[in-house]
Amino acid sequence: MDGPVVSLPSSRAGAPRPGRHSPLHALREAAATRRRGTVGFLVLPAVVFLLVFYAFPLFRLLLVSVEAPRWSLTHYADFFTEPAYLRILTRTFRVSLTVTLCCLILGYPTAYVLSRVSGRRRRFLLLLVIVPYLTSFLVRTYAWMVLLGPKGIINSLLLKGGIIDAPLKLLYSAVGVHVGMVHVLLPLMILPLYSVMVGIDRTLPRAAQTLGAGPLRTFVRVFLPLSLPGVRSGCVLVFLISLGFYITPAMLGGLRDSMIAMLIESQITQLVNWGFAAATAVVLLAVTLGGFSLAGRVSGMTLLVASEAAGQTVAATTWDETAGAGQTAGRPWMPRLMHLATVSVLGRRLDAVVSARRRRRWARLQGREARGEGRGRTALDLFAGAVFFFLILPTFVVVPLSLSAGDFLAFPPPGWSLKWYASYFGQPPWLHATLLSFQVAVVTMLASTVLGTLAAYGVLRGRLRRRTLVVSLMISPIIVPPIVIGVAIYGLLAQWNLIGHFLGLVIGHAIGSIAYVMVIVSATLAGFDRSLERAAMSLGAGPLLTFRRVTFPLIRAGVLSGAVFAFIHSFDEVIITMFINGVHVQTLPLKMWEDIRNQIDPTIAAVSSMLILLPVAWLIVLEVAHGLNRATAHAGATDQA
Amino acid sequence: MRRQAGTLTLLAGVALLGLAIVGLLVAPERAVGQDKGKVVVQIGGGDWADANFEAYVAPFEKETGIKVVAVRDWMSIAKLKLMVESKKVELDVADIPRLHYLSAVKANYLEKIDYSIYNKTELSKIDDLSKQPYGVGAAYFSYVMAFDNEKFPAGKRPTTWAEFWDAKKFPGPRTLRAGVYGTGAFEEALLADGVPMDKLYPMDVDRAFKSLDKIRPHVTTWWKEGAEGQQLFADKVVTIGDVFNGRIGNLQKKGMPLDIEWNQGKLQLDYWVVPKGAPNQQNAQKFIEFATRAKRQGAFSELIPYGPTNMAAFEYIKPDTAKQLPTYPANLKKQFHRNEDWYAEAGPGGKSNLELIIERWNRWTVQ
Repeated sequence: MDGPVVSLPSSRAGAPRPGRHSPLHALREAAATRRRGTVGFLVLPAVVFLLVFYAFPLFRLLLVSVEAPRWSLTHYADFFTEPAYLRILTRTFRVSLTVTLCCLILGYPTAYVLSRVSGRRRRFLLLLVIVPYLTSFLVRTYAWMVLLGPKGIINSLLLKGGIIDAPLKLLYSAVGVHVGMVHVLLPLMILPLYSVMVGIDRTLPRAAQTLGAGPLRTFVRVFLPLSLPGVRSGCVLVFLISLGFYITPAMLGGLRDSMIAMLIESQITQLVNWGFAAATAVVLLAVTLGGFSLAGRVSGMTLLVASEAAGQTVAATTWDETAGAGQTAGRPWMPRLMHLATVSVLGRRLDAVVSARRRRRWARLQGREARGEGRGRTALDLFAGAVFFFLILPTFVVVPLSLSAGDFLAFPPPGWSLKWYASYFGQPPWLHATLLSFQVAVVTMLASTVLGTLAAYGVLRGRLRRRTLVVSLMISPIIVPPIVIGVAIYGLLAQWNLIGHFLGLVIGHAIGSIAYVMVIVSATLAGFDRSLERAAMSLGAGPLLTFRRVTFPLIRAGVLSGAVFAFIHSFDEVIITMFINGVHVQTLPLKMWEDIRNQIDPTIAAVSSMLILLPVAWLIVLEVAHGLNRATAHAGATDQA
Repeated sequence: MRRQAGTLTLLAGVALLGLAIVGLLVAPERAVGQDKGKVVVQIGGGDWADANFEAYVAPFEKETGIKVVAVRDWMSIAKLKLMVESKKVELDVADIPRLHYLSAVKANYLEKIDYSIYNKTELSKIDDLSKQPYGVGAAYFSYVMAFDNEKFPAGKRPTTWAEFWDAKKFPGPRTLRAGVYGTGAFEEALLADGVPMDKLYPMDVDRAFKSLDKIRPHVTTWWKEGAEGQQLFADKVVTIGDVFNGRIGNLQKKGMPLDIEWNQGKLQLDYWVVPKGAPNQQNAQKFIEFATRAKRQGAFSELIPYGPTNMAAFEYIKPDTAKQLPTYPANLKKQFHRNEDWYAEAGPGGKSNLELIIERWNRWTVQ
């Protein structure tokens, strides 16, 4: 069961090493082991928090769904005997599956191209994946409303171009739901794929080719199997997160495009049928967790599948190529052509021993390889280019709309003005919502960064019983549908008078934020050389001093990335918030969500345009963090010298 | 040493940031505090909210000095239930349709209206349906057929729901109200199927949904909130639909070429209510009394063409505006009242017809 955790470098820590048998050494080792026991307690704050505000409410949800003191399964019977609900369940599966497949088809070649380019170009292309990933999903979904509407940009262009005579039904249809969901989730497919592909030893496919395998065979027999962990992580992540989608299908779909999260929401907000909503939520939860453990069994891993993906995702966002890249770390990436040159040099050296026939065949093979690569690459590059375009551009359509002089959304805008920005800054509800969102996000970020970092350290460096359980508890909020969490914690927060309270919002957001911090910091912790810590310890530094002087400087970039993700999670959260915001407390995403439903005036386009700038700010933060880390490492190196 | 200093600076920075945030948080909370002079009023969304704000909220604050916290959102029976049952009522005044009012009264979610503070002459002018023990009528409004004049010029437009349902004769993207709140186009569906206006209730729900089946392929989207239906016309996403008369009225004011048909309009009434256990009940009662005065309601009708419940309000309404109101006699006689009592009745299995029709709607949507 401890597979994934044990597979991390920590498992090697206790192994006896030769040449360390002095009594003094043994004493120190023993002390270190004892300390590791105490270090394990660092998970406690996070675990207690999550037990109280996450696990316990979920358990209560289960009780509500079976009418606890009376014990009855009527709600489940209602669910499973009503064809309409089963239809929603199967539709949820079908949509999630289709979205996952589309993401894979679009994402795999794109990740491949991403892993093949180098230097500045790779950075730029990674940005094209990461910027949409860090952009508020409400903004992205809203952009699709603007693009796909009957009077939207796509239909307007097609009509003007004379390609169609009547607008296509893109918005309020299954097409809209799929396009929107793929757009929102595609980065979650590309990034894990990329981080696995970039770590694949380049010499292996080359070896296959020199042994006579064609490009296709090399791909199918060598590259594809090596990239499967990324495929698995990406698919699991995208599929499970799709299952709980609510906002995107609600905004872009038609009547028929209900997903299960929407059923839960309507049962509560329209019928106040808590028992049935709880039962539906439990079904969704069971399906999600079931899918997760199934995926874990298949791959011999458990809950860390997603965490690894997310961790590597973030490693990619910090451009820390060493974390994701493994083997390629530390040496400059050589262009493909240079590799070929090396191979041909090698071939010429072999000339003396191989027969002329072999030599001719060799040359032919190489030519084929180069030609095939060339053609394939152009097609691939074009494909990837289209995907990058799809990822980045739609979001930016909100910018011209926000500058419209008209009263309604129209494309092209009837004139230009800044009045919708003025409208935003002139309306106290917008400003209050923005301020509140910033406040909640900062407090959530601080709290969850501390709890998450401590927990990550405790899990990886401490001795923990039931480590898998602890890790599952902490990481599962990433895949547990927010609507389930929202329904579950509503009751508890209501009891404690925390509905519509600042602290209640922080609690609701921290559940997910801790998970992100935990995952990202663990990935960083697992990625660095533990012998540095051991060296400090064996030189007499206590765990605290070791952490402060050795560990923390090394994981600082990871902690900061975690903090950024914690902030984004909170700043972007709308579904949990929807349940716990009370009556007159409005966060920015909630205000946007209500405005999108109520009054689609271009103010929301102005807000969205401003929100697009946020990811840029985050990337600067991450870059600075990365720079700090490099500087520290550099300083460390000179100190040693 | 250098490294340690860096770490410490970082930690100090984080701590300072934290302190700053806490400071920011504490300050506004203290400012609001336990101020007695306030009332939290939910004013709906879009033009309806704007009209509420201008006609009632701002003048009320000016006259009484009581601070009004205006919440731009709608109250559903579910939210009311959540609030009241969890004893976490943060709201003093809301407006809800009669459809939900009856259920709310039955469930004991509302405070009694204090009619003792009303001016006798004002009170005598408020119509009987509006003077309820737990709510006072806010406004009459109607679901009406609306058209884009450019697509449906006068004489070439449907005048009945049966014609509206005829997508061959009157083609064009349509919208109808979704049934999620139990306020769907069920009556319209029955009228389209040939049920006479005075024989709608008790409603033949099966027949209504069969009729909805027929129109479904022609409906671009089903709106949920009033502003959404309005937006669909503003953006020219639909050219014909079943929407609130006032929302279209306000688009007409902005110069949009739209028209409405009063024939077979569905008239209904919203009430001002005070949720059970509201924190500022006295101010809530004062606000409702203020908002049902003739002069205020007259101002409201000028802002959005909905009918007053205080009949003396017509003294303050311009004749042109009056003709646009759903309660204007010529318009009134073409319409029918939605029978909310039928919705409140218990159907088979103890659930109310309202609950049953919402469930039925939810099932129907995924077919």
